[in-house]
Formats: sequence, structure tokens, C-alpha cells
Amino acid sequence: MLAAEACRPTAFLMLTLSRRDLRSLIAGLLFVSPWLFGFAVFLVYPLLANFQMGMTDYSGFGDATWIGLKNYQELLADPLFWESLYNTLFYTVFAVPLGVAVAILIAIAMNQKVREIPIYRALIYLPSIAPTFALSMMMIWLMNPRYGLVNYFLSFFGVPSINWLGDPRWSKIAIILLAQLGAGPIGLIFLAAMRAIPTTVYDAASLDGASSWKKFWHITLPLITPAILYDIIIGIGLGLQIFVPAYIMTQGGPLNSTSFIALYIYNSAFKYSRFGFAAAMSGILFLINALLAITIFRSSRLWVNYHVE
Amino acid sequence: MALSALLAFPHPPIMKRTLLLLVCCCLNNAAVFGQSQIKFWYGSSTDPREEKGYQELVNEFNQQNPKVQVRIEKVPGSETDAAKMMTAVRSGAGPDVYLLDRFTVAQRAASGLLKDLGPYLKKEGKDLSHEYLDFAWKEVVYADKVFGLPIGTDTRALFYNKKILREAGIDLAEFDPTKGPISPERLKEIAFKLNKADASGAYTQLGFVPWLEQGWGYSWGYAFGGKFYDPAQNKVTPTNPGVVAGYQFLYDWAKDLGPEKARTFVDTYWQWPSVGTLPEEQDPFLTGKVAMVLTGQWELPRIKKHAPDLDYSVTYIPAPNGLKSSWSGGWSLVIPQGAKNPDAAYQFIRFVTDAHGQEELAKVSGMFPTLKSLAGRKDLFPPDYEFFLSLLPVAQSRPPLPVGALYWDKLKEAQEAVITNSKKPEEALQSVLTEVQPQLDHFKK
Amino acid sequence: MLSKTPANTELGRQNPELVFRAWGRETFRSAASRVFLLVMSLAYLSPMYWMFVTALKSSAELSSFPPTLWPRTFVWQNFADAVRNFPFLQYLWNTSFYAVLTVVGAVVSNFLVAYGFSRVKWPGRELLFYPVIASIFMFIEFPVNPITMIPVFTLFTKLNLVNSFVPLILPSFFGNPFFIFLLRQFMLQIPDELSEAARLDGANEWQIMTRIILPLTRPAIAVVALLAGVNAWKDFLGPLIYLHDDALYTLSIGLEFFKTEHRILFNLLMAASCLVILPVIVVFILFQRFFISGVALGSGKPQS
Repeated sequence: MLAAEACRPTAFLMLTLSRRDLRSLIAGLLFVSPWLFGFAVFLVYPLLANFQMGMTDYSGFGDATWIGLKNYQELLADPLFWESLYNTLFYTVFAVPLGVAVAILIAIAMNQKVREIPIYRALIYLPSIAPTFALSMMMIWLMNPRYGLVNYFLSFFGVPSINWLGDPRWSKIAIILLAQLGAGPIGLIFLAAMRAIPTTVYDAASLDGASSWKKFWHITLPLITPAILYDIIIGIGLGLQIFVPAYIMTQGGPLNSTSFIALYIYNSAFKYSRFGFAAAMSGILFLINALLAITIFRSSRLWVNYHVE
Repeated sequence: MALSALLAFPHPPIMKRTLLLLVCCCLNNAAVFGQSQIKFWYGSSTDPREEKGYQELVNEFNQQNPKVQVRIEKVPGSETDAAKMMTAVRSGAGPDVYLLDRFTVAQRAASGLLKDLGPYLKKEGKDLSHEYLDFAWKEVVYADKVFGLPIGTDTRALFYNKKILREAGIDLAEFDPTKGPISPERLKEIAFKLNKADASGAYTQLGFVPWLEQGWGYSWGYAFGGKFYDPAQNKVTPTNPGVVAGYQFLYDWAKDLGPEKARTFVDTYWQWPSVGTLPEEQDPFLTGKVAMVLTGQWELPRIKKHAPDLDYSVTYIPAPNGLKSSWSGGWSLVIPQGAKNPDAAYQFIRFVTDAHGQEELAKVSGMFPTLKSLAGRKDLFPPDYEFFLSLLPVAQSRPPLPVGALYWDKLKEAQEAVITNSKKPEEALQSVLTEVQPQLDHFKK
Repeated sequence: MLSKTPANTELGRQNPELVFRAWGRETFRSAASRVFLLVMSLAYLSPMYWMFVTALKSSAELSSFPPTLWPRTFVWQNFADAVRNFPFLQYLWNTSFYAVLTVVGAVVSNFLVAYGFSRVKWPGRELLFYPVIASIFMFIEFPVNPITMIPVFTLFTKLNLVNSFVPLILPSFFGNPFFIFLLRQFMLQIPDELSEAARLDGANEWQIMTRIILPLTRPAIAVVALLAGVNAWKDFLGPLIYLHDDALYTLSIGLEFFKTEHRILFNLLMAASCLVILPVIVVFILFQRFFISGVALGSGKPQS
């Protein structure tokens, strides 16, 4: 009988709801209606439109002409597309784990039991407040091969001058390093996660004679895996959508080494007037993002520990 | 300014937004107080002296035409980057007049960005096609329609710093233009004598960097006798032997300098090209960081202003077989689609591109006029321009194609690959062909 | 009550050398901590320091090699010069306008939605919340992200709303899953009994929300307001594609166009950048505790 009821259409299901349930349903939906509208208009519609527009030739002026899968075929054969994809994935694959490591480092730093810790916390957090575009501009100068501070600093360690933004081998790395300046907020999340671990666990380990390193590796790390998962998912999103540093510092160069998908999408649409082509790429970017997020999330079952308070 | 004044008064947030919306709508529909306003945009790479010329002409026009006021706005943009303008036009907030690099007119017209000036020309009853230099007129015509009016043109040559050369014991007679162009091999020999490096091996002075300033692939392709387009077959020809030879010249030069060291040198003293425009005082030729440079006649006022004591001269672009080569570029004024006041805009365009306007621009900025009536008017220019004027007859111009800007960008990419030695010229130029030709075929009639 | 230091334990009193060793360990630990902290904060502070120092250098000093860590002369004039070419106040106004309205939208919409997802029991509530979490990665860049920007831009073009702040501010009024999640977490910790008691007293949902829950959620709302505001301040891609009138530019694209439009040296650019960052730093200093505590709000753990 239950199965039969479950097969009934939703309308009938709604009729079976008590009046009170129905009233609360309407109230609930009313409260979340802004989100429902935003979800439909700013998420669902664009995702579908990407695929629809991706099958047209649209210069942004006048009408769009239907061309079927030509854009996708062109993308598959486009060396710049593959280069952009490679650059974006390269950036994501390196920036995300580095980001996690740096965030954990920051959390440890902010957790130090030192009296002036609020000052240190503020200093470390500060660059993440600064707008990325401003930091990018500063980075251009900071990484000048001759007059930049970074090379000057490295020269003390005998490292030869690196042309950070002009050498295709180093340009992405420069951007990855720049991104670490924004690790403040994530560091705080890790800090909160670390604080949530009861000290009794550590005390018990101390009694067993565990060293600081062992405590970190076997207690802290496993117990902050939810925060790590969160950081990875956010990091993947940020990595795949990276735009501002490439636009401001290198415009996709040198030799297309910092041509990221988001930049290629922007250029295709706004520089070369190829909206359909750009939309096709956006659709692909979404698929990649979703795929990665789902994969990581699925895999999280294997390594994330959600401990009950 | 009025906008900020309006918004300075305290309003509740919702009202402010509506107010802003309304004001924006009003901005979009100019014509306030019976006066039409036209927006004239030009890109950030515009030479400062040309800017001055435009400003003077605008003031003059505004005075003569109280009913039409021209407002200048400088926007980010360069020869092939008109993204700002395009995005603005697309959103209905575009300018009435735009300064567009002439060889890209075909491409912009093909994408539906520009207004056909035919109706205006017809109304005026004039046939302007005979008034302008042939190559300049050809560049503003696409699919038998006129989309812009030519303004000025230029030529390129080799500048050399006599003092540095003399100090290195070079015989300046080799550079005498009456002897024709110096050969590329000899140039290389001389230039490499002038390279200096510091203790760590980084270059602090180079004799010549062939790809700096106007040392584009076009320059060397033309110098080596290459052709970039085959009109008979409607094919772009980046793999033409002359073009390949030109790129090979760049490749070898970079190899012998050490591509990374060369790159570091350029990035250090010239800043990364995409990071804004270099302040003129920092021009490496003016500061003595390079002894020679291939560039256009606009360098002359720069030298006069920032390095008046520079002991320099000019000669032909180095080329094999004594080929005297150069090429001409130049700008045009166009009316984008969606212009709010196209009639007034056309009036303004005619004012600037006509004899008086071009004369003024020539005097203020050294731009060569594109009007036949002004050709040979040496009196408009100081004597040091004479050599550049003499190059006009031999100067080529870039093929006006509906993929003009794309072709340029791809050639630039190939150039980058070649000067970093990451691709051989044949390979790099072959990529240009495979990437540009299909786009060109799109436009086959 | 005496703190539990080694010296105060029975063991400690009897074996002074153990106390000494413990004290030595402690000092070493706190010294090591300080060194570590110093290195970290130096690494994070140096970019801002460099920005400020470069802004004060003279043009000639920019090309001194090796680079000077402290300006030889303090050229405060650079700030004045930067402002002369860069309509700082106009852009500041525009950016503030944008930020304030974004904050209004973010606070109002996300609070309402989070309330609906946490304080009102309705069938299907949990089910409908899954898409919220799942879509967080789509709203990381807000309001404009590369994945949805093309269709959304086309939509706004058809509505003739481009070249205004509407496309930038409107999305904030329709919720952001990240903020919804944050507020919801916080609100879930407010005991049900409070709402229930009010309901029994005959209050309707709106009254409960505004009179009881809203005041209690203030810390979380403050965090949302700050994060949303700073995000609007930093927004680059949004203004880049939607603002085309120099009267409307925000500081972000204003600075970028300043860099490309004028042949400037880095000291002026850095001076302008400093001015752009300054308001944000001021806000940060004033509201520091909200930024830093905001994160842990969801877990409801006591702050320190």
C-alpha cells in the first residue's frame, strides 16, 4: 500500500498532506523563494543556455545562426583550447594541494600560544582581504627579473634570477604562488577545525609518549579531513575559474602558458566576437568542474572522518 | 560629474538604484538641451602627439559647431584589441566615433560592428575614393562598402645610435642610406659587438633586438621579399619563402643571443608588453640600452623631447639583395553600429580626415597624410622626416582581410614562438596558416 | 587558584631540575613559535610592504639595482600625482555604492532563505537543501563566474541592462549558497524551544523571525555582510564586462584602465593601488574580530 502511495503523482501527494503541512510547505517555499529564483535564473538557465548557444554562431550582434556541433568540433581540433585546458588543470592540480598545505600551516601558526597572536593573525589574514587585481599589479613589479624583490631575496640563496612572468616555464608557478596570499580565510577554517578536537585526545596520546609530529599526523590530520575536503572542493572551483591574474599580469602569455579556459572564454566572446564558441567552452568547463567535484566528493568516503561531537 | 552630484544627495538605497538606472538611460539617450553630443573613443596605445592633434581638432570642431559637441574618451585598446569598444557597442553603450587601425576595418566590418558610410557619402554627393591614397582607401572598403575614412599613415626605418657605434669602432659609412640597406648578416656582426653583460651574465646593453618596437614579422617578412597574401587564390601566405626567411632571421638572432637572456633583457627594461604602455622616457633606444631600433617616424618627436642630445641617424631596414623595404600602417575613423548620433559623427569624421584636419595632424604629430592632395607636402614636416617620406613609395601595406586582426595576432604568436626558440619558423608559420585560412574561407563569396 | 605550571606540582616542588628542564622546553617552544610566526607574517606582509614602499620611491630609484628595501627619499607627491590622473573619488563612490547594495541584498536574501531552511519545518526541506550545497562550487566567483557569464550577459543585453550596476547587484538579492549554508549552520544552533514557545504564544513566522531569531543571528549576519561587501569591492570580472562608461567604473577596473591608458611607472601605479586597498584595510582593522571569528561560527564552539 505504501508503494502504491509512493507512485501517485506529486499533486495527489500534496493533497494527502495535512493542512498544516501544506501551510508550512508554502511558508517554507516562500522563504526560500529568492534562492529558487536565483537558482533557476543564474544557474539552471545559463547551464542549459551554454549548450544551446554552443551550437550557434553568434557574434553578439544581430542573430545567432544554428551550426550544430561545429563549435565543439572546432574546439577539439583547437590547439589553444587544449593548451588552455592543460594550463587550467596544471594550475588546479598544483594550487589545490599547495593551498591545503599552506592553509594548514597558517592554522598552526594562528594556533600558537603566544600573547601577541592577534597581531600575527591579522597580518597573515590581511592579504586575503586585498583585492586580487591589486595584488596582481604589485606582483608584476615584485617579480621583475631585475628590480623585483623576489629575485633579490632569492639571490641571497644563490638562486639565479628567474624571469617569473616572462618565462613560460615559470609563469604558472608565479600565479600559483600569488594565490597563496589569499589563504587566510581557509586557514581560519582549518584553525576552527583544529580547535574542535578535544584536548583529551592529545593528552591521551602524550601519555602514550607520542611526539608532536606523530600527534599531528595521526590525530590532527585525520580529524580535520572535513575541512580538507571543503578546501579541495572550493579550491577546484577557484582553480578552474582562474581569470584575474592572467588578465592583468600576462594576458595569457608568454607563449600562451597562462592562457586559462576562463580567459579564452572571455577573449573568444569579447575580443573575437564569438559568443557561440565561448558558450560551448563554458559548457565544457562546467562539465569538468562538476565531474571533479563529484569525484572528490565520492572519494571522500574513503578518507574523510566525520566525528560526532 | 553630474552623475556623482546627483548621487551625492542622500537617498534610500532602493531609490538610488532606480535613480542610477534612470540617469544611465538618460546618458544612453544624449541630446540634452537641443545639443547633440558625440563620443569619440581612441585606444590607450595612441601616440601622445596624435592625441594632442585630435584634441586640438575636437576643440576646433566644437567651436565651429555649437550644436554638436564632441567628447573624447580614452579607452583601453590597441591596434588589434578593440574589445572594449566591441563590448560597449554590443551593450548599446558604444561610442559614435572610434579610431580604428585601418587594416582591421575589414575584420570589424565583417563581424557587423561598423556602420556602412555609403548612404552618407551618397548624400554628400562626393566620391571620396579618388581623394585618398590607393592603399589607404582599399583598407577601409569591405565587400564594396565603405566603412571608414583614412586618417594618417607612417613608415618604418632603422634608427642607430652614432655615439655607441663610434665608440665600438664601427665605420658609420656602412650605414649611409645612399649605399642602400645594410645586409642582415653584417648588421648582426656589428650588433653583437655592442652587447654588454654584467657579472651575472645578464645583458645590460644590446646592439639590436630585431623584434623590439616595430620589428614585427611583417617588417622582416617584407624585408626578405616575402608576401603575406595571395589575392588570386584568396589565401594567406605565412609560409611564403620570404616570410619564412624573415622569421628565420629572428630565430637565429634569438638563438645566438640566448633566448632566455634576451627575453629577460626585454622584460627587465621594457616591462612585459601586456602591462600597459611603456612611458616614453623609458624607451630603450633613448636610454641607450639598445644601440639600434626598427621603428616608425613617431620616434623622432620622442627623441626631441626626451633625449635631444642623442647622436643618431636613420637608414633603411636591413635587407638582403639591397631591397629597400618598409611598410605603412595608419588609422581610420569609423562609426560603430548603434551610434546615437551618426549624422553628427559623420560630420566630425569628414572634418578630421579632410585636408585641413590631416594638415593639422601632420604638423602636430608627424603623421603622414593619406590625401592625394597633400602628398609631397614636405613643408608640413621638419627636415628629419624626409627620409621617412621618401620611403612612402616603396612601403607596402598589410592586406586588408576580414581576418586581418586575427592574422596579425597569430603572426605575433608565431613570432613569440620563434624568438623563444620554442618552434622553428616553418612550424610556427604553418600553424598560422592552419589557424587563419579556415576563418578566411568563412568569408568566401 | 594557581595555574598548573610544572613548578606548582608536587613533582615539581621536589625536583627542581625537572622544573628547569620543563621551563627550558617551554621557552624553546615559545621562541620557536615566535620565529615561525615571524617568518609567516613576514611572508604575508612583504607584498603589502613592497607595494607601499614602491609607491613612495622616486622614478629614478625604481631603476636602482639592487632594489632598495627602504626608499631613499619619500615621495609623497606620488599619491597626489596618482589621484590627479585617476578619478579616485568617483571610482570610490561607485565601488562603495556597489558594495553597500550588495551587502543589503546579501543580508536580506540569504537571511530569509537560511531561515526557511532552518527554522521552519516543511516537507522536503532537507531534500531541497542538497542542491544548495551541491551548487556552492558554481557560486565561488560571485556575481560573475566564467561558466555562466556568457548566457547571463546575453540575457542582460536583451533586457538592455548592460552598462549599469543592475547585473552586478541583482544576483545578490537572490541568494548565495555559501552564505545560506553559513547562516543556516548558525541558526540551527538556536534552540527550537525559542521558536516553539513564540508559536504557542500566537506569533506568526515573520514576527518570530524578526523579533527573536534576527537579533540572535547578528554575529553571523555581520560576517555575511563583511564577506559580501569585500567580495563586491574586489570584483573585477563583473565590472569588466558590464560597465562601459567611465563615470561608472569601479576601483577594480579603474585601476586596470589607469595602468593601460596612461604611460605610467610603477611607483604611481603602486600609489594608486595603495589608495584602492586602503578602505578595505580600514574596514578590516575595525571589524577584525568578525572576519576572524566568522569562520568558526558554524560549529558553535567558544572563541578565544
